[in-house]
Amino acid sequence: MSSSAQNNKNNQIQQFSSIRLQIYKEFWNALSSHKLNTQKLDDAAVAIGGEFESGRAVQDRNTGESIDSGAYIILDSLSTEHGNVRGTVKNFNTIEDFKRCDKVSLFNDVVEHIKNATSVDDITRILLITYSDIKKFTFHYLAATPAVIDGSAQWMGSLERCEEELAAEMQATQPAHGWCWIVKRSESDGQLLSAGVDDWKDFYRDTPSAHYTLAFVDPSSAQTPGWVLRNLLYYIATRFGVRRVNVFASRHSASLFGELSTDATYASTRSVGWEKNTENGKITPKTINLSTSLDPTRLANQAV
Amino acid sequence: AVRDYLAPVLRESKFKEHGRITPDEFVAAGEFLTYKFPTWAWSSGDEGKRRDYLPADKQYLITRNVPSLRRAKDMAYTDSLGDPDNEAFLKFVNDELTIGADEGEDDWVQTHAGNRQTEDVPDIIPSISPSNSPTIQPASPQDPDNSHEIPDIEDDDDFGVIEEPDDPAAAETSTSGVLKVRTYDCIITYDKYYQTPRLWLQGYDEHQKPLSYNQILEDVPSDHANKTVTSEPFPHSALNTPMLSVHPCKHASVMKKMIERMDSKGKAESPPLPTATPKKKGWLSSVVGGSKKQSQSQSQAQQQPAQSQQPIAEAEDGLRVDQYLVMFLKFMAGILTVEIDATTSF
Repeated sequence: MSSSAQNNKNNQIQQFSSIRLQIYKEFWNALSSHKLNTQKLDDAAVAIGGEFESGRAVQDRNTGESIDSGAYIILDSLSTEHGNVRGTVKNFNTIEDFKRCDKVSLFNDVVEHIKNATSVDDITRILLITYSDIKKFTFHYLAATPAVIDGSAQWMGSLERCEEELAAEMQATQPAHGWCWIVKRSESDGQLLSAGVDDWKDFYRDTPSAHYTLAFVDPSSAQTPGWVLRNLLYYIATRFGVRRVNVFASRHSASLFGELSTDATYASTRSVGWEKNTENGKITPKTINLSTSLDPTRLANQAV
Repeated sequence: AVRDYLAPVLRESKFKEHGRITPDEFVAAGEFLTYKFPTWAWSSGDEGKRRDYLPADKQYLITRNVPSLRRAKDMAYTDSLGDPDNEAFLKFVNDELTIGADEGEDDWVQTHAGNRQTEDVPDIIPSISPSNSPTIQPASPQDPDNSHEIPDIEDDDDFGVIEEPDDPAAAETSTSGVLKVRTYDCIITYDKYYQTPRLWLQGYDEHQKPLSYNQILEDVPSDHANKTVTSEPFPHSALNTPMLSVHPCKHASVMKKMIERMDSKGKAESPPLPTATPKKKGWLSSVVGGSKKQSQSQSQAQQQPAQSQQPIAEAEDGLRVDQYLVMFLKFMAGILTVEIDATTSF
């Protein structure tokens, strides 16, 4: 691995595009009625499910510039049945509780969950900390999509635009269920073979590490791979001792491919992934007022 | 809603004659749209609000987070002659959907048709736009939509700003926040009364907060605001929340014109070639290619079948009903500044 680190391309830190939560009024409405009718004063965490939504790049008609919207996780109901991202919402009873609560420890609980994951389906988790002012239809919230990173070392390398032909071949190997998978080329007929990430040891038993290839469905549409790759890299590094891997970021268009390597051992880890408040650029709660679309009195007044 | 309830479901295919489509044709066109452009997806909506003439899991089409790069009021309404009042109208001249100077009965104003990027954007709609700043206007106390103050909960200090460890591997976007533009969720429902698709818009500002009605109107040229673009309860939401919609009363006639053009062009230009197999991609990509230039070059492409693989068989029939929604989006993109026709990225 140290030899590959000499490679010029591998001297740069691979960056990851963040993902954020897009929370719909249907979600707030469901959360409010769950609070009022079911949960009441109990403020235990509630399981939620969200859905990845790919970012998209559009071209500015005036300047020709390409603008990327960033990837999202959509929350539009309390149901955990559909959607492919799991998480929890911690809904406090009072604004004081919300202010006072130890948010970092809630965050760390989720990080522990990710670290102890026994399957790749469990390594993308979302955390939502809220206070719902139900009378005013106002919601305060903090959101996080934690990523576990090594205390000091980074993943080095660079994913580049993948050729269409290879992208199509890789995408054809995606298993029916699963957002990430591993690929190798058969020695006998040159066809691509695939397996689930958890089959790593068996699948790559006789394969040189230079051929390890990890593929995942990437909701990002930016130049850099999406946030979800970070925990996936943590997972393969800690479970299978991987320090060097080819990565394929599968997208509707402009998929990425490249080699990443690291000196990270994850002996000591840190975690990042709080969503910033775009109004001040810091990690502070956001406030959303939905009285125009949820308040029955206002709706009645508008219905002329 | 009563009118909608009482109107019979259209059974017979009328799309060539009137520009109207049946629910089945809506589903077929929706299938094509979601297949070609995977950002569009079917949604089942609220269970209690299902329409039984549509499949339960195909009640309406939705695409989320469509960026809107600039406000309609900031668009320069100038044409090549430099006359800012010279609005263009969508007209069919020769083979193409083009821009005419005079307004016919069924013509739609295409407000940002001749738009060029100009150094100094003249403020030509003072009634709506006190400044050319793209920032959202502060709420005035008289504005019923914004009368509720949204105080951020006191000071940040009260919460304690959470500090994260330095993360050199976080891409630029996570530090600068996010895309500094509005985004829209665009929804296409089937309007049973008008027998056409109908477009709905829900907007979010750059901080992901839902836009008020008046804020969304900033993305609608003044020619359409409060006339063809109105606020109505969204028919598939249990919450009955109002949403902005492009009123479908003129959709059928405009669609009919578009279809007729496609048809007559097909008949005039392409000798029948029975062996040609229909292949969607080439024809379609020229239609949905995004820029008007591309769509105008379509007739040339049809005269060079070698270059665009399949136009002949397509052109024989003109517009097929499953391409209806693609044309519909072209039409909608002409009247909104939302980048709804963002099909170019695929």
